[in-house]
Amino acid sequence: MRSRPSTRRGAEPAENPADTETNDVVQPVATARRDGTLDAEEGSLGPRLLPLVLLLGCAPAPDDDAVRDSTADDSGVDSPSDTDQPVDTGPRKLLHRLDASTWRRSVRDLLFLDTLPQVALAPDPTIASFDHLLEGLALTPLHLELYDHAIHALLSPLAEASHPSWARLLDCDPVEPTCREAALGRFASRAWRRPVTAEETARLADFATEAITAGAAPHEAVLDALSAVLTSPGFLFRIEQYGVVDDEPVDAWELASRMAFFLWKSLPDDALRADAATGDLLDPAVRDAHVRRMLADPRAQALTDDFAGQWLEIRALEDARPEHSLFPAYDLDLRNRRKEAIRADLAWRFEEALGADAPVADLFRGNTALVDPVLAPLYGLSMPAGSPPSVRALPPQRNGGWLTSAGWLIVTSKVARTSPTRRGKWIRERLFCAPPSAPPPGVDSFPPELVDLDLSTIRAAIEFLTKAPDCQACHGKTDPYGFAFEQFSHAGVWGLAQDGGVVDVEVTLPTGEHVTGANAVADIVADDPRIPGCFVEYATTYALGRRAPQEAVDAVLDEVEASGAPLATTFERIVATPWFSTRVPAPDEEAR
Amino acid sequence: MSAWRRGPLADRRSFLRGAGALVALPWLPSLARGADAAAPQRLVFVMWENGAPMDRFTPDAAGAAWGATPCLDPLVRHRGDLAIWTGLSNRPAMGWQGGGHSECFGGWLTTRELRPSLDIENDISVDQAALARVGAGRVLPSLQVSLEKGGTGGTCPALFPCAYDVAVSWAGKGRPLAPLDDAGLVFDRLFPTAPEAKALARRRSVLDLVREDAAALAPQLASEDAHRLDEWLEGIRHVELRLQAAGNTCGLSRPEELVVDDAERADLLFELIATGLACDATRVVTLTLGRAASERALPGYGAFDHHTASHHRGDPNAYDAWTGYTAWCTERVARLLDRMAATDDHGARLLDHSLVVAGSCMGEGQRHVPRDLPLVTAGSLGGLVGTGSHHVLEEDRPLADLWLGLLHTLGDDRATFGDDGTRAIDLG
Repeated sequence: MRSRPSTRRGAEPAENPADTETNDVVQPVATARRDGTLDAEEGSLGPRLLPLVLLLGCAPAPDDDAVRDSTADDSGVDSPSDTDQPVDTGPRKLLHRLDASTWRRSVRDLLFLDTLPQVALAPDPTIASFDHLLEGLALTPLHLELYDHAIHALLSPLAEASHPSWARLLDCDPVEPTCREAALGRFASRAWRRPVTAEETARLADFATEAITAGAAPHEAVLDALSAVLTSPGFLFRIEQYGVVDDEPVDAWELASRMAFFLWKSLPDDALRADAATGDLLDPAVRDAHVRRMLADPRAQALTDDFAGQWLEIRALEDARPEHSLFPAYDLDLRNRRKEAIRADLAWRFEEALGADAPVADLFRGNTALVDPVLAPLYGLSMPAGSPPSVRALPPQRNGGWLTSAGWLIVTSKVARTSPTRRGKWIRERLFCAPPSAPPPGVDSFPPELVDLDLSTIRAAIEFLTKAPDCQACHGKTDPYGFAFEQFSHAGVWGLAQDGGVVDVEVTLPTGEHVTGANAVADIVADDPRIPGCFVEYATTYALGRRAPQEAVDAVLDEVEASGAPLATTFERIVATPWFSTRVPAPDEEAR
Repeated sequence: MSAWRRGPLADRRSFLRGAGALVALPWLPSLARGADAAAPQRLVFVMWENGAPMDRFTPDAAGAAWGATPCLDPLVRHRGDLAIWTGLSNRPAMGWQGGGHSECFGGWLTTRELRPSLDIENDISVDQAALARVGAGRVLPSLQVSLEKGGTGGTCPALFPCAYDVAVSWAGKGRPLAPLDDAGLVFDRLFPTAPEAKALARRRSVLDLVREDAAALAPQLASEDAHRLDEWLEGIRHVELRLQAAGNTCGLSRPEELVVDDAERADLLFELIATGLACDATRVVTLTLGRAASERALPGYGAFDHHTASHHRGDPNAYDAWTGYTAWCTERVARLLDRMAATDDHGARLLDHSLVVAGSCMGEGQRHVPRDLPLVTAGSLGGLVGTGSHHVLEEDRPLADLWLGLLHTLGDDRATFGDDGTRAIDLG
């Protein structure tokens, strides 16, 4: 598809046989693709067949009524003349699907739900550590199936007219057509993150009216229209215009969406919408004030769940299953409560640093934690059952901030043992952006002559197994970080028993320091000058929703490096960078 | 879509196969049990991770007289339905660094070389290529399931898209079909609830309305984005087809996702899969027993999780543990076969109309190399695939040749498959 020269959808039938077999479900469509007779019937196609026709590569002429009536799919802000032109000569549009987290948060806010809906959505495997990047978002029938399932699961409670959300969705009696029309227009505009045209609103209102004619109760009819708004590509995809010229700024509505998706993984709220409508949002002072406001809003928890959740791998706790008496397999409730307490501790650390606008490296310093009675035993503390979570100073051996938290020590371990290599790799990859490369081709990293490997002394085993120069090229720069943490078990507990022996935590780091133990290494890591730039790289990619160009990273870093890349300031400067507020350049083939 | 196409060639081949089987195999000539020409063909692919200790997997004897090995022991009860394929290698998965979990996992059914990349590459997998011949079931063209919980979103080596560590089924380049790991969701996929007639009409009208939105959007898109919209439309059509097909739970009720261990969860999933196949909810299933570099830890193996054990370094304890993990996986395969053999299908056993392909994407685990792969098939696909024998192929015969052979068996006579499938292996 990429190579097609035409800007219109496929002027010729699919020539690649893979096109017909890659489709999981569309056998009838695939068959029809070869059927040129549909061309001749173009003029008689009803709306139901239109999408099929578009798939076939024989789109109706742009003056087709059914198309023209609904093409006002624009922001309405900067290109009012679109409706006067053939639709295929306007600026091209970019589709960026909402990831699962953004979908859930957006629906929560749209329907005024109290909590994040726990509906199943299709998994989105990560790419470059994040699950919402444009490059990694495939769309399969499973996705649509589960979106559809989720929409009905979330809307069906609203079949009760007494559902509390109705008070926010409707401020009038839906028996009145004008009331329905106003409510649907408002909802569609919020869901689609742009002004909606009178035609679009009328179409939704007509749809509801038809449902009433067919016997639905007024609020059920509105519900059907809400379902259509949520199923529409206008909700599922972030639709932006490609830039036609270099450095073309986005419009105020697109900026509002980008800010909300970055900071909240949700939709613009009323305040953002108001300043988008007037264009005031394009004023840097207004924009920055919104960023500060948004960072202080509870919805910014998305940054903890999704940014820190993936950059610092808090999310990996979900799958962690340490084989340890503190996480008994026979008491899953306790195991899950313990994991939740560990997660809450990590979330608190990130949110504290964000709230204080602390330099990013401060995450890796100090010994305060959020502890509750379930977590306390891991930290060697005692707390009476039933005490609320409180901020506590941990024992002095845990003075390495994040790197001596129970959560980090667990997610960087294997199920039943520590992995110093994994801990070292995490530090290099997540904090220095200098991941170890893969073993060189043909390396047999495990000498077969070794038969009596004693896994209770992991350090000795790893040092023996990686003694070859080929191995040391990478392991020598990676494992020492991890060796220093060997007094912490795979369950995050201090005092790893290794046959009563002394655990050797004396290391020479690749940066030259010769030190002993986790605290000393954490200090050196926290002072490493690569941390701010690495954090900015992860954060900028997260914010843009696609791989951040090095220039964008550098532009942000220029502004925040001197102050150690404080978290909130960095997020604010990312929004301020021109990279955040310019349009994605049109693909070459589409250049005009 | 509906009818299993069975041409004259297939009929003749299945007759010959049946006749040959009668001579060679006293245990179980599948055709003698009466595979029904009206029964659809079913394909099930089961993969486990971390390879297998091949000297404890591969039988010494070729042909019908093969003897049990520690890793195959659980499958011996199905030996009449079984074929063992020795000597297969997936060279494309070795291309970059001599083999690794991402390349081997994502490339098992595609036999494409996967390289470090920040875009999702890969290509269509054999199960998806086979769909065009096997046809879609009533509800779902194909089903992807992961037995091991978690990790379907995936964290993985930074150099690769995580999709390679998650999906063995691929609808095409850049289109991983990620598995679900929740039995309740698997049930929902196979046996969707039917809306009332009135609600059904309303939901259809919603789909019609949003299609108009897409129609309006399409002319404004660049080609790459138009492709995304195509995928959306394909999904909407899928949703619509499901609405039509909904309402048949085939006698099952929705399982509560209780906290049970993987062995118990496997039995639950096998029941859903076998029932879904038998009542034609779907015809093609891929099941991964463990995620990439699975660290499943079973009791009794101490610090040796599955992955750690597979890097045995010659340690006999690790080697025994690895053998144990592999046998645990083949026992799961055997229990799936138990279920499929016990499930009636058009008057015969479901297994008779099916081909189950089970194996690992790695061979010897020490070096994690996708050579000398462990692979067995079970069932005769309605008499098209031979059973009972241990086939010893030439060394390093491309895995892609087996996938090509499977496609030929199904009547798809393409010349190549994957990166190196050019000489189809005759599955007879």
